[in-house]
Amino acid sequence: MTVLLEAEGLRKVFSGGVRAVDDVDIEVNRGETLGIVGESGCGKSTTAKLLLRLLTPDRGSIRFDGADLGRARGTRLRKMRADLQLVPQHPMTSLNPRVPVGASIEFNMRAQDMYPGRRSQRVRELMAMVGLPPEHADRYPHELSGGQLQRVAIARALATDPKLLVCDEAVSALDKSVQAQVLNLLVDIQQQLGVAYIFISHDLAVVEHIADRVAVMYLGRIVEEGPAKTLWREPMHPYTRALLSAMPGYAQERIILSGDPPSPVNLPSGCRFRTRCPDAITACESFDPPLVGARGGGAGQKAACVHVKPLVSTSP
Amino acid sequence: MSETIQVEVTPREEVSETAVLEVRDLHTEFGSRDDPIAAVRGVSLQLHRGRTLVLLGESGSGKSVMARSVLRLYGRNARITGSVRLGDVDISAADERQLQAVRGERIALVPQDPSGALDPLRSVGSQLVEVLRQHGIVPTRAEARDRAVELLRLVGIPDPKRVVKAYPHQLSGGMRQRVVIAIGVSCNPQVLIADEPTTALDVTVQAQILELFGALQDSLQMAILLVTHDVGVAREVGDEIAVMYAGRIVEHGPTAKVLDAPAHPYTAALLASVPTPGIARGRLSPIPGRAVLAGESMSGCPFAPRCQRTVASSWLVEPDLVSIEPGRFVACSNPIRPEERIAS
Ligand SMILES: Nc1ncnc2c1ncn2[C@@H]1O[C@H](COP(=O)(O)OP(=O)(O)OP(=O)(O)O)[C@@H](O)[C@H]1O
Ligand SMILES: Nc1ncnc2c1ncn2[C@@H]1O[C@H](COP(=O)(O)OP(=O)(O)OP(=O)(O)O)[C@@H](O)[C@H]1O
Ligand SMILES: [Mg+2]
Ligand SMILES: [Mg+2]
Repeated sequence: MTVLLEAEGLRKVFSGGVRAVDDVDIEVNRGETLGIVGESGCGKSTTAKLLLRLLTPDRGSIRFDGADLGRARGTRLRKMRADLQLVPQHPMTSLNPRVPVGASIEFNMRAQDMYPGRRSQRVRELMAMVGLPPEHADRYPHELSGGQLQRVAIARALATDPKLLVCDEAVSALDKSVQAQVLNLLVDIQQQLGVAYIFISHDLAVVEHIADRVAVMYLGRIVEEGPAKTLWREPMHPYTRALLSAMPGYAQERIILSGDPPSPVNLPSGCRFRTRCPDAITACESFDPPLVGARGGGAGQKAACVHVKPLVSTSP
Repeated sequence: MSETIQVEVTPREEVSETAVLEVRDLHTEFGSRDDPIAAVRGVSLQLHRGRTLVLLGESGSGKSVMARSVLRLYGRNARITGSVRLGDVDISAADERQLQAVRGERIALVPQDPSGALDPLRSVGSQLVEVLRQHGIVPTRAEARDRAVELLRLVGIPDPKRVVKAYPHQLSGGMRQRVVIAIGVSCNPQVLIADEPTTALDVTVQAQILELFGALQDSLQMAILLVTHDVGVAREVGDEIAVMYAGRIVEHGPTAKVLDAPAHPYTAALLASVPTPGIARGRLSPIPGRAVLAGESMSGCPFAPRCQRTVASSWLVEPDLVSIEPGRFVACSNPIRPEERIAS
């Protein structure tokens, strides 16, 4: 497997000192699905926007398909834009309220100069793929239901045959049957075309179903990362354990976190999870644990916790 | 016989049985009269004090249009018929001024799209304060401000003093959704219609919102219509469940009965497509085919093309919603019978 996207040291601090994304590394291989989970406000959408260059990072670099995303210009940038698509959390962000939805999908192809001559035909094919009647391409956004709009946003993003599709809560407004249809579609497209996905969702059952690897975010940081199977079976970070335990049907006993999440403006000293952590010790007040390969963990499993012993000792 | 005894023998149920909201034969149509898009086709339901009715249904089945039609939130392009009565107010006959007076204060909607519901140019706090002041809930601006912060805290927003000053675009998706919920409950309405209020929220925050609804129900006897596609949520909070398909209610009854022993084949199929946790990978099994959508032609039962239980009449007549046992209704020519459920 070769690396498709490699982001290093991403940081975004918003005005007022909100540390939305704070030193995040993300790697996605070709044809792979990376799930990103974590509670509301932890920085998932901000991360997505940074990866798509919809926001400029304060720090950090992003390499996509072998080139520096921040430096790309002209045709190179246009090609990258086609290869890197987003299904935004709110579908209306990617749709123009004043034109029929089919025109928005077509516009995405035209902007990348793709499918000349057969764009309207492709719009109809894409509509059918996401389970909508092709004639609905002529409807305006306000004439569609919430779940129909969400599927239009997926069709729009798929229109340019991306190599990486970032799905931000892309199936959250769908009933289970339509959701199953769309998830099957995404898996089929991945198998046929080798597209990679970053799949952001609060629905852990959906992430478990679709992701090869999962990153768990807490207050702007990735606190644990690893193959989905390993993470679900043997989470190493106390936050991951708490998160999974809240999942309906999860075998282990529910761990209730005490207190509210701290403000992203005033992060606690040391480990940012310590104020709610059931396993916190005095050392956590001063030690900000890095995300490291975990001794005793599965292959590729990393965690940021004082209790996790690094795979390779950092000191000689 | 003393009067006190008479009071005591009045059954509790009967008192709460008086509906706060009664919707009768609601129809909503868009498009031209020659080529109409019938999104809601004859929905009747009642909401009772302190109780929750959950509305389930496939994407595009008419849940949001129904909810918005109840509050008359459409312009001239929608043709709405049927009656909607909120206590002593006939909403279906009310003029705009009367509507303004009941909306928010007596009946509130938490819309499905939180972004569209918020003014991008004004801070969250000023929008909450405006709603509170408009309905005279709090006498002074300062008190309204405090109440706004308190409401944000109630919907589980950390650091509400900071967030109250923020603009909608500075909030995460889940935070925005919670601000809209806060606005919805701010005036202590008698009836709350919440359209997918917790879709973008993780289980912990979702639980907090559902607890808040429960608390308001206990203290104010608020009636709730909750639109959701989360069967787990439906089971947890629903006293009753109604299932919509192609613009109509196809099944309606007490929560446990509808979820554990569905009578309509669509309800059964919908419940079967909820993935079991722990079954990673592999193919999911959606209901085959696609739903008939508003504006498409149909004859007979709209679910027939996807149904495995069709009988000859399924293709000819659209079944009415009829009672199959006390409090249970189904619109199907060949409903699943209790003995079949035990057998399977
Ligand atoms: N433009 C902005 N200006 C200021 N703060 C912002 C801005 N965008 C996001 N934030 C803040 O950054 C933090 C992370 O937001 P983000 O949208 O990334 O969260 P999220 O993980 O996607 O949450 P959700 O699950 O609710 O969608 C939040 O505290 C949010 O208020
Ligand atoms: N303004 C409109 N003009 C024309 N058709 C409309 C309009 N609004 C909604 N519709 C159509 O009416 C049907 C019902 O829409 P509605 O939004 O009520 O669905 P829903 O059950 O809420 O679905 P979802 O679960 O996806 O939100 C859909 O097929 C939709 O395309
Ligand atoms: Mg988000
Ligand atoms: Mg809806």
